[in-house]
Amino acid sequence: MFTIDIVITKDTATPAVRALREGLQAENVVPIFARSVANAVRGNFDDLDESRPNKLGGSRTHYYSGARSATKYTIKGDHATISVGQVGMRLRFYGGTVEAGRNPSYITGQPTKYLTIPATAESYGHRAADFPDLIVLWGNGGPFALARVTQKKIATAKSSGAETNDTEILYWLKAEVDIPADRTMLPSSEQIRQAISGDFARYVRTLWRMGALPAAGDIG
Amino acid sequence: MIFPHPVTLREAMETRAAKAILPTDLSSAMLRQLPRAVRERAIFSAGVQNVDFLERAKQAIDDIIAGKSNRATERTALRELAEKFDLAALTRDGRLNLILDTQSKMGNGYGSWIEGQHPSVLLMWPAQEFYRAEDRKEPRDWPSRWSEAGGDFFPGDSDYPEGRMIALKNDPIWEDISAFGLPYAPFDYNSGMDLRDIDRDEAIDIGLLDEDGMEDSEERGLNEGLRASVGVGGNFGLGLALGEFLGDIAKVGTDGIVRFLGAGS
Repeated sequence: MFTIDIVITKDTATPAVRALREGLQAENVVPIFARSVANAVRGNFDDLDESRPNKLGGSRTHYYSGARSATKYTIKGDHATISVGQVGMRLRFYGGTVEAGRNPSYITGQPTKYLTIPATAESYGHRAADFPDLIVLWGNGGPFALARVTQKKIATAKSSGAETNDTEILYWLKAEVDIPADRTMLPSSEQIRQAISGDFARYVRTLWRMGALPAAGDIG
Repeated sequence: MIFPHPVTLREAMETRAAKAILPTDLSSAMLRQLPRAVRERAIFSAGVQNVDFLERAKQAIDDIIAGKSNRATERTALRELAEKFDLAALTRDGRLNLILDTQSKMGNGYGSWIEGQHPSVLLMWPAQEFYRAEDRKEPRDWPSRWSEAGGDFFPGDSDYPEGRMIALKNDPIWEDISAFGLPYAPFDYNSGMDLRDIDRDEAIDIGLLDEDGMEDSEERGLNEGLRASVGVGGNFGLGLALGEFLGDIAKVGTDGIVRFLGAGS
Protein backbone atom coordinates (compact mmCIF):
# COMPACT_ATOMS: atom_id res chain seq x y z
CA MET A 1 0.00 0.00 0.00
CA PHE A 2 1.29 3.38 -0.96
CA THR A 3 0.35 6.39 1.19
CA ILE A 4 1.38 10.02 1.33
CA ASP A 5 1.23 11.96 4.55
CA ILE A 6 0.81 15.73 4.20
CA VAL A 7 1.77 17.78 7.19
CA ILE A 8 0.84 21.43 7.14
CA THR A 9 3.25 23.33 9.30
CA LYS A 10 1.94 26.77 8.45
CA ASP A 11 -1.47 27.47 7.02
CA THR A 12 -1.08 30.34 4.54
CA ALA A 13 -3.96 29.35 2.33
CA THR A 14 -6.88 29.56 4.72
CA PRO A 15 -6.69 33.35 5.39
CA ALA A 16 -6.44 34.02 1.67
CA VAL A 17 -9.34 31.72 0.87
CA ARG A 18 -11.36 33.36 3.61
CA ALA A 19 -10.52 36.80 2.24
CA LEU A 20 -11.50 35.72 -1.23
CA ARG A 21 -14.77 34.30 0.01
CA GLU A 22 -15.58 37.49 1.88
CA GLY A 23 -14.25 39.77 -0.81
CA LEU A 24 -16.29 38.12 -3.53
CA GLN A 25 -19.57 38.61 -1.71
CA ALA A 26 -21.84 40.93 -3.65
CA GLU A 27 -21.60 43.64 -0.99
CA ASN A 28 -17.85 43.87 -1.59
CA VAL A 29 -17.41 43.04 -5.25
CA VAL A 30 -20.28 45.06 -6.74
CA PRO A 31 -18.75 48.33 -5.50
CA ILE A 32 -15.54 47.33 -7.33
CA PHE A 33 -17.44 46.89 -10.58
CA ALA A 34 -19.37 50.10 -10.01
CA ARG A 35 -16.29 52.18 -9.23
CA SER A 36 -14.49 50.68 -12.19
CA VAL A 37 -17.22 51.66 -14.63
CA ALA A 38 -17.75 55.04 -12.99
CA ASN A 39 -14.03 55.80 -13.29
CA ALA A 40 -14.10 54.82 -16.98
CA VAL A 41 -17.08 57.12 -17.54
CA ARG A 42 -15.45 59.96 -15.58
CA GLY A 43 -12.20 59.57 -17.53
CA ASN A 44 -14.12 59.74 -20.79
CA PHE A 45 -15.78 62.99 -19.68
CA ASP A 46 -12.37 64.42 -18.77
CA ASP A 47 -11.16 63.64 -22.28
CA LEU A 48 -14.27 65.23 -23.82
CA ASP A 49 -13.91 68.35 -21.69
CA GLU A 50 -10.35 68.79 -22.88
CA SER A 51 -11.06 68.09 -26.54
CA ARG A 52 -14.37 69.92 -26.95
CA PRO A 53 -14.24 73.57 -25.95
CA ASN A 54 -17.39 75.48 -26.91
CA LYS A 55 -17.36 76.50 -30.56
CA LEU A 56 -18.28 80.11 -29.87
CA GLY A 57 -15.27 80.76 -27.65
CA GLY A 58 -15.52 82.90 -24.54
CA SER A 59 -15.98 81.58 -21.02
CA ARG A 60 -16.37 77.84 -20.90
CA THR A 61 -19.16 76.20 -18.97
CA HIS A 62 -17.13 72.97 -18.76
CA TYR A 63 -20.21 70.91 -19.46
CA TYR A 64 -18.32 67.62 -19.61
CA SER A 65 -16.35 68.33 -16.48
CA GLY A 66 -19.69 68.94 -14.79
CA ALA A 67 -20.89 65.61 -16.12
CA ARG A 68 -17.83 63.92 -14.64
CA SER A 69 -18.54 65.44 -11.22
CA ALA A 70 -22.16 64.36 -11.53
CA THR A 71 -21.28 60.72 -12.31
CA LYS A 72 -22.38 58.55 -9.40
CA TYR A 73 -23.42 55.01 -8.73
CA THR A 74 -26.14 53.42 -6.68
CA ILE A 75 -25.84 49.84 -5.46
CA LYS A 76 -28.81 47.64 -4.75
CA GLY A 77 -28.04 44.06 -3.82
CA ASP A 78 -26.09 42.45 -6.61
CA HIS A 79 -26.31 45.21 -9.17
CA ALA A 80 -25.17 48.78 -9.57
CA THR A 81 -26.55 51.69 -11.55
CA ILE A 82 -24.21 54.36 -12.86
CA SER A 83 -25.89 57.75 -13.22
CA VAL A 84 -24.86 61.07 -14.73
CA GLY A 85 -26.91 63.83 -13.13
CA GLN A 86 -26.41 66.43 -15.82
CA VAL A 87 -29.15 68.02 -17.92
CA GLY A 88 -28.80 67.19 -21.62
CA MET A 89 -26.79 63.99 -21.26
CA ARG A 90 -29.57 61.71 -22.41
CA LEU A 91 -30.34 63.91 -25.40
CA ARG A 92 -26.71 64.03 -26.46
CA PHE A 93 -26.23 60.30 -26.13
CA TYR A 94 -29.41 59.17 -27.87
CA GLY A 95 -29.96 62.19 -30.06
CA GLY A 96 -33.41 63.52 -30.85
CA THR A 97 -35.46 66.54 -31.71
CA VAL A 98 -35.91 69.33 -29.21
CA GLU A 99 -39.09 71.28 -29.72
CA ALA A 100 -40.14 74.62 -28.27
CA GLY A 101 -43.19 74.71 -26.05
CA ARG A 102 -42.10 72.31 -23.34
CA ASN A 103 -41.22 74.98 -20.82
CA PRO A 104 -42.84 78.29 -19.93
CA SER A 105 -41.31 81.49 -21.21
CA TYR A 106 -39.59 83.62 -18.56
CA ILE A 107 -41.12 86.67 -20.17
CA THR A 108 -44.73 85.68 -20.79
CA GLY A 109 -45.19 82.61 -18.59
CA GLN A 110 -46.76 80.92 -21.62
CA PRO A 111 -45.22 77.88 -23.35
CA THR A 112 -42.23 78.94 -25.40
CA LYS A 113 -42.66 79.24 -29.15
CA TYR A 114 -38.98 79.21 -30.00
CA LEU A 115 -35.76 77.73 -28.73
CA THR A 116 -33.00 80.26 -28.20
CA ILE A 117 -29.71 79.12 -29.69
CA PRO A 118 -26.68 81.13 -28.52
CA ALA A 119 -25.04 83.02 -31.37
CA THR A 120 -22.11 84.63 -29.52
CA ALA A 121 -19.60 83.79 -26.85
CA GLU A 122 -21.37 86.28 -24.57
CA SER A 123 -24.73 84.57 -24.80
CA TYR A 124 -23.31 81.06 -24.45
CA GLY A 125 -24.16 79.61 -21.04
CA HIS A 126 -26.88 82.21 -20.47
CA ARG A 127 -30.60 82.35 -20.97
CA ALA A 128 -32.14 85.05 -23.12
CA ALA A 129 -33.88 86.37 -20.00
CA ASP A 130 -30.43 87.31 -18.70
CA PHE A 131 -30.35 90.09 -21.33
CA PRO A 132 -33.21 92.52 -20.64
CA ASP A 133 -32.48 94.73 -23.68
CA LEU A 134 -33.05 92.19 -26.45
CA ILE A 135 -35.32 92.88 -29.39
CA VAL A 136 -36.89 90.41 -31.79
CA LEU A 137 -35.69 90.48 -35.39
CA TRP A 138 -38.27 89.59 -37.99
CA GLY A 139 -37.74 88.15 -41.45
CA ASN A 140 -40.06 86.96 -44.18
CA GLY A 141 -40.72 83.73 -42.29
CA GLY A 142 -41.40 85.43 -38.97
CA PRO A 143 -39.09 86.06 -36.00
CA PHE A 144 -35.63 84.61 -36.49
CA ALA A 145 -33.31 86.10 -33.88
CA LEU A 146 -32.97 88.02 -30.62
CA ALA A 147 -30.59 90.92 -30.85
CA ARG A 148 -29.24 93.82 -28.90
CA VAL A 149 -29.36 97.30 -30.35
CA THR A 150 -25.83 98.59 -30.63
CA GLN A 151 -26.60 101.90 -32.34
CA LYS A 152 -29.93 103.64 -32.91
CA LYS A 153 -30.44 105.40 -36.19
CA ILE A 154 -33.18 107.86 -36.90
CA ALA A 155 -35.54 107.71 -39.87
CA THR A 156 -34.15 109.25 -43.01
CA ALA A 157 -35.24 109.72 -46.58
CA LYS A 158 -32.77 107.01 -47.57
CA SER A 159 -34.49 104.56 -45.21
CA SER A 160 -37.86 105.58 -46.63
CA GLY A 161 -38.84 107.12 -43.37
CA ALA A 162 -38.29 103.93 -41.32
CA GLU A 163 -36.12 103.79 -38.19
CA THR A 164 -33.17 101.47 -38.58
CA ASN A 165 -30.86 100.12 -35.91
CA ASP A 166 -27.49 98.43 -35.86
CA THR A 167 -27.93 95.20 -33.97
CA GLU A 168 -25.88 92.35 -32.62
CA ILE A 169 -27.58 88.97 -32.77
CA LEU A 170 -27.23 87.09 -29.48
CA TYR A 171 -29.66 84.22 -30.10
CA TRP A 172 -31.10 82.48 -33.11
CA LEU A 173 -34.73 81.46 -32.78
CA LYS A 174 -35.66 77.94 -33.85
CA ALA A 175 -38.95 76.10 -33.49
CA GLU A 176 -37.01 72.85 -33.15
CA VAL A 177 -33.47 71.57 -33.27
CA ASP A 178 -32.21 68.12 -34.24
CA ILE A 179 -29.43 66.78 -32.04
CA PRO A 180 -27.50 63.85 -33.54
CA ALA A 181 -26.81 60.84 -31.33
CA ASP A 182 -23.31 60.85 -29.92
CA ARG A 183 -22.31 57.47 -28.53
CA THR A 184 -18.82 58.74 -27.69
CA MET A 185 -20.36 60.45 -24.67
CA LEU A 186 -19.77 57.17 -22.85
CA PRO A 187 -16.89 54.72 -23.15
CA SER A 188 -17.49 51.88 -25.58
CA SER A 189 -18.73 48.51 -24.30
CA GLU A 190 -15.28 47.12 -24.99
CA GLN A 191 -13.61 49.86 -22.97
CA ILE A 192 -15.98 49.20 -20.08
CA ARG A 193 -15.41 45.46 -20.30
CA GLN A 194 -11.66 45.95 -20.23
CA ALA A 195 -11.87 48.30 -17.25
CA ILE A 196 -13.99 45.86 -15.27
CA SER A 197 -11.97 42.76 -16.12
CA GLY A 198 -8.67 44.50 -15.37
CA ASP A 199 -9.84 45.93 -12.05
CA PHE A 200 -11.51 42.70 -11.02
CA ALA A 201 -8.36 40.67 -11.74
CA ARG A 202 -6.31 43.12 -9.66
CA TYR A 203 -8.88 42.96 -6.88
CA VAL A 204 -8.76 39.16 -6.68
CA ARG A 205 -4.97 39.20 -6.78
CA THR A 206 -4.91 41.77 -3.98
CA LEU A 207 -7.35 39.79 -1.83
CA TRP A 208 -5.27 36.67 -2.28
CA ARG A 209 -2.10 38.49 -1.35
CA MET A 210 -3.49 40.49 1.54
CA GLY A 211 -5.68 37.81 3.04
CA ALA A 212 -8.09 40.44 4.35
CA LEU A 213 -10.23 43.41 3.53
CA PRO A 214 -9.65 46.72 5.30
CA ALA A 215 -11.53 47.21 8.53
CA ALA A 216 -14.96 48.53 7.75
CA GLY A 217 -15.60 51.65 9.75
CA ASP A 218 -18.87 53.46 10.06
CA ILE A 219 -19.01 55.03 6.65
CA GLY A 220 -22.53 56.41 7.02
CA MET B 1 -27.81 48.26 -19.94
CA ILE B 2 -28.24 52.00 -20.33
CA PHE B 3 -31.39 53.51 -18.87
CA PRO B 4 -33.07 56.11 -21.09
CA HIS B 5 -34.68 57.74 -18.06
CA PRO B 6 -33.30 59.54 -15.01
CA VAL B 7 -32.54 57.54 -11.87
CA THR B 8 -32.08 58.85 -8.35
CA LEU B 9 -28.59 59.65 -7.14
CA ARG B 10 -28.99 58.22 -3.70
CA GLU B 11 -25.89 59.34 -1.85
CA ALA B 12 -25.73 62.78 -3.38
CA MET B 13 -29.38 63.37 -2.65
CA GLU B 14 -29.14 62.01 0.87
CA THR B 15 -26.63 64.64 1.75
CA ARG B 16 -28.95 67.27 0.34
CA ALA B 17 -31.82 65.93 2.39
CA ALA B 18 -29.70 66.31 5.49
CA LYS B 19 -29.01 69.97 4.77
CA ALA B 20 -30.73 72.88 6.37
CA ILE B 21 -30.71 76.46 5.24
CA LEU B 22 -28.76 78.83 7.40
CA PRO B 23 -29.66 82.50 7.12
CA THR B 24 -26.70 84.51 8.35
CA ASP B 25 -24.95 87.85 8.35
CA LEU B 26 -21.52 86.20 8.48
CA SER B 27 -18.95 87.02 5.80
CA SER B 28 -17.13 84.33 3.79
CA ALA B 29 -14.11 84.57 6.09
CA MET B 30 -16.29 84.17 9.16
CA LEU B 31 -18.19 81.29 7.63
CA ARG B 32 -14.88 79.47 7.16
CA GLN B 33 -14.43 79.56 10.93
CA LEU B 34 -17.64 77.68 11.56
CA PRO B 35 -17.15 74.07 12.60
CA ARG B 36 -17.13 71.51 9.83
CA ALA B 37 -20.32 69.93 11.15
CA VAL B 38 -22.15 73.17 10.41
CA ARG B 39 -20.47 73.97 7.08
CA GLU B 40 -21.13 70.48 5.81
CA ARG B 41 -24.77 70.40 6.71
CA ALA B 42 -26.12 73.83 6.04
CA ILE B 43 -26.94 75.83 2.93
CA PHE B 44 -25.74 79.37 3.42
CA SER B 45 -24.22 82.25 1.57
CA ALA B 46 -22.25 85.06 3.13
CA GLY B 47 -24.52 87.79 4.41
CA VAL B 48 -27.73 86.23 3.08
CA GLN B 49 -30.48 86.35 5.70
CA ASN B 50 -33.48 85.95 3.42
CA VAL B 51 -35.09 82.60 4.21
CA ASP B 52 -37.24 82.50 1.07
CA PHE B 53 -34.23 83.07 -1.14
CA LEU B 54 -32.21 80.36 0.60
CA GLU B 55 -35.13 77.94 0.37
CA ARG B 56 -35.35 78.53 -3.36
CA ALA B 57 -31.57 78.21 -3.69
CA LYS B 58 -31.68 74.86 -1.90
CA GLN B 59 -34.33 73.67 -4.33
CA ALA B 60 -32.23 74.88 -7.24
CA ILE B 61 -29.17 73.02 -5.96
CA ASP B 62 -31.19 69.85 -5.40
CA ASP B 63 -32.52 70.04 -8.96
CA ILE B 64 -29.06 70.60 -10.42
CA ILE B 65 -27.60 67.64 -8.52
CA ALA B 66 -30.53 65.44 -9.56
CA GLY B 67 -29.97 66.41 -13.19
CA LYS B 68 -33.42 68.01 -13.42
CA SER B 69 -32.20 71.50 -14.16
CA ASN B 70 -29.08 73.41 -15.09
CA ARG B 71 -27.18 76.36 -13.72
CA ALA B 72 -28.32 78.90 -16.31
CA THR B 73 -32.00 78.15 -15.69
CA GLU B 74 -31.71 78.25 -11.92
CA ARG B 75 -29.54 81.35 -11.96
CA THR B 76 -32.19 83.22 -13.93
CA ALA B 77 -34.91 82.15 -11.51
CA LEU B 78 -32.84 83.11 -8.46
CA ARG B 79 -31.97 86.48 -9.93
CA GLU B 80 -35.64 87.24 -10.45
CA LEU B 81 -36.29 86.30 -6.84
CA ALA B 82 -33.39 88.43 -5.63
CA GLU B 83 -34.75 91.40 -7.58
CA LYS B 84 -38.17 90.83 -6.07
CA PHE B 85 -36.69 90.86 -2.54
CA ASP B 86 -34.41 93.78 -3.41
CA LEU B 87 -31.28 91.74 -2.68
CA ALA B 88 -28.95 93.70 -4.95
CA ALA B 89 -25.83 91.66 -4.16
CA LEU B 90 -27.57 88.48 -5.27
CA THR B 91 -28.57 89.73 -8.70
CA ARG B 92 -25.04 89.36 -10.08
CA ASP B 93 -24.24 86.30 -12.19
CA GLY B 94 -20.92 85.74 -10.48
CA ARG B 95 -22.43 85.59 -7.01
CA LEU B 96 -25.28 83.31 -8.09
CA ASN B 97 -22.89 81.02 -9.96
CA LEU B 98 -20.78 80.86 -6.83
CA ILE B 99 -23.71 79.73 -4.71
CA LEU B 100 -25.00 77.20 -7.21
CA ASP B 101 -21.62 75.79 -8.22
CA THR B 102 -20.13 75.53 -4.75
CA GLN B 103 -23.12 73.83 -3.21
CA SER B 104 -23.89 71.46 -6.09
CA LYS B 105 -20.23 70.46 -6.35
CA MET B 106 -20.17 69.84 -2.62
CA GLY B 107 -23.13 67.49 -2.98
CA ASN B 108 -21.41 65.61 -5.77
CA GLY B 109 -18.07 65.67 -3.94
CA TYR B 110 -19.60 64.19 -0.83
CA GLY B 111 -21.29 61.45 -2.85
CA SER B 112 -18.01 60.48 -4.52
CA TRP B 113 -16.14 60.65 -1.21
CA ILE B 114 -18.51 58.31 0.55
CA GLU B 115 -18.46 55.87 -2.38
CA GLY B 116 -14.68 55.82 -2.09
CA GLN B 117 -14.80 54.91 1.60
CA HIS B 118 -16.26 51.48 0.97
CA PRO B 119 -13.68 48.95 2.25
CA SER B 120 -13.19 47.08 -1.03
CA VAL B 121 -13.09 50.32 -3.05
CA LEU B 122 -10.56 51.76 -0.61
CA LEU B 123 -8.48 48.61 -0.96
CA MET B 124 -8.33 48.95 -4.74
CA TRP B 125 -8.16 52.76 -5.01
CA PRO B 126 -6.47 53.87 -1.78
CA ALA B 127 -5.16 57.17 -3.10
CA GLN B 128 -6.32 60.09 -5.22
CA GLU B 129 -4.78 62.76 -7.40
CA PHE B 130 -5.57 66.43 -7.06
CA TYR B 131 -5.64 67.72 -10.61
CA ARG B 132 -6.86 70.62 -12.71
CA ALA B 133 -10.13 69.50 -14.25
CA GLU B 134 -11.17 72.95 -15.50
CA ASP B 135 -9.00 75.85 -16.58
CA ARG B 136 -9.38 79.23 -14.92
CA LYS B 137 -8.38 82.73 -15.99
CA GLU B 138 -6.54 83.27 -12.74
CA PRO B 139 -5.63 79.86 -11.33
CA ARG B 140 -4.62 79.67 -7.68
CA ASP B 141 -1.14 78.56 -6.72
CA TRP B 142 -2.23 75.12 -5.62
CA PRO B 143 1.25 73.57 -5.59
CA SER B 144 2.27 76.07 -2.90
CA ARG B 145 -0.79 75.32 -0.83
CA TRP B 146 -0.15 71.61 -1.31
CA SER B 147 3.49 71.92 -0.34
CA GLU B 148 2.74 74.05 2.71
CA ALA B 149 0.30 71.37 3.87
CA GLY B 150 3.10 68.80 3.68
CA GLY B 151 2.10 67.25 0.35
CA ASP B 152 4.57 65.42 -1.89
CA PHE B 153 4.87 65.77 -5.64
CA PHE B 154 5.24 62.82 -7.95
CA PRO B 155 6.60 62.54 -11.47
CA GLY B 156 4.25 62.10 -14.40
CA ASP B 157 1.87 64.03 -16.61
CA SER B 158 0.70 67.12 -14.73
CA ASP B 159 -0.46 70.67 -15.34
CA TYR B 160 2.13 71.79 -12.82
CA PRO B 161 5.93 71.73 -13.20
CA GLU B 162 6.21 70.68 -9.55
CA GLY B 163 4.62 67.35 -10.46
CA ARG B 164 1.50 65.40 -9.63
CA MET B 165 -0.24 65.98 -6.31
CA ILE B 166 -1.23 62.59 -4.92
CA ALA B 167 -2.00 61.40 -1.39
CA LEU B 168 -3.85 58.60 0.34
CA LYS B 169 -7.59 59.22 0.48
CA ASN B 170 -7.73 59.56 4.24
CA ASP B 171 -4.61 61.67 4.56
CA PRO B 172 -5.38 64.85 6.56
CA ILE B 173 -3.90 66.92 3.75
CA TRP B 174 -7.26 66.99 1.96
CA GLU B 175 -8.93 68.88 4.79
CA ASP B 176 -5.83 71.05 5.23
CA ILE B 177 -5.84 72.36 1.65
CA SER B 178 -9.61 72.85 1.57
CA ALA B 179 -10.96 76.33 2.21
CA PHE B 180 -14.00 74.56 3.64
CA GLY B 181 -12.06 72.05 5.75
CA LEU B 182 -13.68 69.16 3.89
CA PRO B 183 -11.87 66.17 2.35
CA TYR B 184 -13.63 66.38 -0.99
CA ALA B 185 -14.10 68.79 -3.88
CA PRO B 186 -14.58 71.67 -4.28
CA PHE B 187 -11.51 72.79 -2.37
CA ASP B 188 -12.16 76.49 -2.72
CA TYR B 189 -14.63 78.94 -4.26
CA ASN B 190 -14.72 78.77 -8.07
CA SER B 191 -11.94 76.20 -8.05
CA GLY B 192 -11.33 74.13 -11.17
CA MET B 193 -9.46 71.44 -9.24
CA ASP B 194 -10.89 68.00 -8.67
CA LEU B 195 -9.95 64.48 -7.60
CA ARG B 196 -9.45 61.22 -9.45
CA ASP B 197 -8.74 57.75 -8.15
CA ILE B 198 -5.23 56.33 -8.03
CA ASP B 199 -5.27 52.54 -7.99
CA ARG B 200 -3.43 50.34 -5.57
CA ASP B 201 -0.67 49.28 -7.97
CA GLU B 202 0.23 52.87 -8.76
CA ALA B 203 0.05 53.91 -5.09
CA ILE B 204 2.56 51.14 -4.32
CA ASP B 205 4.75 52.04 -7.31
CA ILE B 206 5.14 55.65 -6.20
CA GLY B 207 5.80 54.67 -2.61
CA LEU B 208 2.60 55.89 -0.98
CA LEU B 209 1.67 52.43 0.23
CA ASP B 210 3.50 49.23 1.17
CA GLU B 211 2.52 46.10 -0.69
CA ASP B 212 0.71 44.90 2.41
CA GLY B 213 -0.59 48.30 3.42
CA MET B 214 -4.22 49.29 3.48
CA GLU B 215 -6.29 52.24 4.46
CA ASP B 216 -9.08 51.93 6.99
CA SER B 217 -12.39 53.47 6.04
CA GLU B 218 -12.80 56.77 7.77
CA GLU B 219 -15.28 56.74 10.60
CA ARG B 220 -17.21 59.85 9.90
CA GLY B 221 -20.93 59.80 9.59
CA LEU B 222 -23.43 62.56 9.45
CA ASN B 223 -24.25 63.81 12.90
CA GLU B 224 -27.51 62.05 13.56
CA GLY B 225 -28.66 64.52 16.19
CA LEU B 226 -28.13 67.41 13.83
CA ARG B 227 -29.74 65.57 10.96
CA ALA B 228 -32.85 65.01 13.05
CA SER B 229 -33.04 68.60 14.14
CA VAL B 230 -32.48 70.48 10.95
CA GLY B 231 -35.28 72.36 9.34
CA VAL B 232 -35.61 75.74 7.74
CA GLY B 233 -34.40 79.11 8.89
CA GLY B 234 -36.31 80.36 11.88
CA ASN B 235 -36.65 76.78 13.08
CA PHE B 236 -35.51 76.82 16.68
CA GLY B 237 -34.64 73.13 16.53
CA LEU B 238 -32.01 74.08 14.01
CA GLY B 239 -30.82 76.87 16.24
CA LEU B 240 -30.47 74.58 19.22
CA ALA B 241 -28.70 71.96 17.14
CA LEU B 242 -26.27 74.46 15.68
CA GLY B 243 -25.73 76.33 18.91
CA GLU B 244 -23.41 73.75 20.40
CA PHE B 245 -21.21 73.89 17.29
CA LEU B 246 -21.04 77.63 16.88
CA GLY B 247 -19.08 78.20 20.07
CA ASP B 248 -18.16 81.84 20.55
CA ILE B 249 -18.03 82.64 16.83
CA ALA B 250 -21.69 83.25 16.24
CA LYS B 251 -25.10 82.67 17.72
CA VAL B 252 -28.54 81.83 16.42
CA GLY B 253 -31.01 84.60 17.11
CA THR B 254 -34.65 84.15 18.05
CA ASP B 255 -35.45 84.93 14.41
CA GLY B 256 -33.33 81.95 13.31
CA ILE B 257 -30.59 84.10 11.77
CA VAL B 258 -26.99 83.23 12.56
CA ARG B 259 -25.06 86.38 13.52
CA PHE B 260 -21.40 87.07 14.15
CA LEU B 261 -20.64 87.70 17.80
CA GLY B 262 -17.63 89.88 17.12
CA ALA B 263 -14.06 89.71 18.39
CA GLY B 264 -13.69 89.10 22.09
CA SER B 265 -17.31 88.15 22.61
